[in-house]
Amino acid sequence: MLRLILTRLLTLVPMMFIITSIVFFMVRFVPGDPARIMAGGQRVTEANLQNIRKQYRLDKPLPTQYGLWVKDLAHGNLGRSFRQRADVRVLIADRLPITIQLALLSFAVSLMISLPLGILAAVRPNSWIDMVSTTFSLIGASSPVFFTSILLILAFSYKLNVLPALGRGEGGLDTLKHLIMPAIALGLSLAAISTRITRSSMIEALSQDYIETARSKGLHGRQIVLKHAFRNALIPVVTVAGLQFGYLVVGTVLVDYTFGLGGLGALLIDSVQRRYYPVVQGITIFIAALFILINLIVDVLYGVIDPRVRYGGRS
Amino acid sequence: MVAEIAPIHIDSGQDTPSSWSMVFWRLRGNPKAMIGLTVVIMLLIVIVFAPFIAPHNPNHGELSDTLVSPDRRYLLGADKNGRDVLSRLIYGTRTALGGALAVVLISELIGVPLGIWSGYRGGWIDEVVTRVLDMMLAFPPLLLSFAVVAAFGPSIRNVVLSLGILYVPFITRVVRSVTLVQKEMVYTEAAKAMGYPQSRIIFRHIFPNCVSSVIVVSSLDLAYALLDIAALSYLGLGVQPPTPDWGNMLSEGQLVLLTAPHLALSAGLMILIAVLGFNLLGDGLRDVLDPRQAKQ
Repeated sequence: MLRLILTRLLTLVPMMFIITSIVFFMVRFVPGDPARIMAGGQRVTEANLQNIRKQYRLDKPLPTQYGLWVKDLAHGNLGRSFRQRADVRVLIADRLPITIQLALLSFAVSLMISLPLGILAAVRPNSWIDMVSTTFSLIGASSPVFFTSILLILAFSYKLNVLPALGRGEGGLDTLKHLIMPAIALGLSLAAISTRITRSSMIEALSQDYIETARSKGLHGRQIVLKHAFRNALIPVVTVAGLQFGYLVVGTVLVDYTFGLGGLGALLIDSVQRRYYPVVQGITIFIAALFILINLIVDVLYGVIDPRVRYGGRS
Repeated sequence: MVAEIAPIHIDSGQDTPSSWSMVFWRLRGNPKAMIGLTVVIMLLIVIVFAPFIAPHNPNHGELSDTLVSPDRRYLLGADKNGRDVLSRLIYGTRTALGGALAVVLISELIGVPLGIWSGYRGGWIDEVVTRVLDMMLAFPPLLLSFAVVAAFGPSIRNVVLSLGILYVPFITRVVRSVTLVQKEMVYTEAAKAMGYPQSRIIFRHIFPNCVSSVIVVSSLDLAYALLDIAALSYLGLGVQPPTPDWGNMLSEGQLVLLTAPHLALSAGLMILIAVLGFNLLGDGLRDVLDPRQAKQ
């Protein structure tokens, strides 16, 4: 198991290298003075520009800049925002809790919809529930998450007047109330994809020989579906859950913006709109690092679910 | 020996006119694909004939008609500047769908040659290309295009260029895997044995067999590109007002959601319908052209 983790870690290093390089070199190849871009694309005095050049080491040769920057990153230092006069880490830490709550809730909503719907559709192919599942997957995957959000706001805030449309509330239960609609919007989007995968991998698992064997042993339908088929169908489901992390991040950004939750997504979009490059850069690197972590967790989960992975040789 | 080669040759789906009319004939039996195809064709007609279809000038507003509800004169109402929503949606097709088409085209221009080259050459080149692409696939394109916009500034050109490059892995991966299969086919071996130049083998045997997969992936990629461009414009990072676009109309509509919900609803529905159209067409085409992949 330890070897599995270590080898996976090694292969993920290049990804980090590529992302950091793109983010680092891109801004330095923009026509014009990189110091001005770092300043947020606004008017600044010459003295300020000098300050920025010093702070972001723009006066040094490119390889040196990159080397020092990566060294900072390795120490967990994401740099400072010139405009907000703040450490990017602090900016992120302020916004992170609500984003994590949103992500976890959305993921829970997605599982609550997709697992039952996918399994039932697979057990009864071509039935009405299968139709529902297919239609849901198609429309859910085609509706932009911000449009789903707006539909929910129209229905639950304006028509029924039961849930708040905007903001993050005043903590505790109030915040939870503000998170319900965003989590449902994003959860529906995520569920559209995982319902489809759950359904197809369950159909695959149910057609295997060991299911026949279980049936011939006289096991109950429910036992076969949940114990024999579902466990084997879990691998593609976990893969998709891992892959969905990318979509989950993008989704939290969009939903955050639509509902004005003031999370990490709102900070990112605000920084992109105002062109605070150091903040955008810091958040992008932070998310990339998270990606690596999640990828690792997913790989370890494979090992837990499927012993064939644990004992070498992937199936 | 001859008897063995012949069925493989048919299976490889050579681009003769008869096999393409076969494809259409089979598509007709697939309701999903036909709905998708109808939506896509209608959208293309709207793109080309926008000036003739639009009832009003999309950029000219009557301030007295601000936020008018749908009526006889404005079928879908008017926006905050008194401009006709229907006409803006019609012109918005050009930026939304035109942008998505450009994204997919850029990704194909880079991805198809890269996939064939990588798969055909094999060895360490293939190894490196595959590894890099796998890493890019794990990272959502939208996030990196945020960084591009922050560096280069918000505009549809920057959005299309960055998404075009970030979409390369999707197409390359598919073309590469088709190339790997075709490379081992008996007729490719035969062409090699007869001493045909590499370019002839690639253009006569490998490339034609990639076409059907490229079409399937393109249709699904167009759906993704539509969503990504709409998202960027919605966030104010893509198409800039006053140029009409579904994404920025949706965000304008959100500001007046309580008083004039028809704005956001009509723009959002346009995105939904267009994306659904390409998804349906892509799914249907995959059922017909690529049955092996469709089963997965």
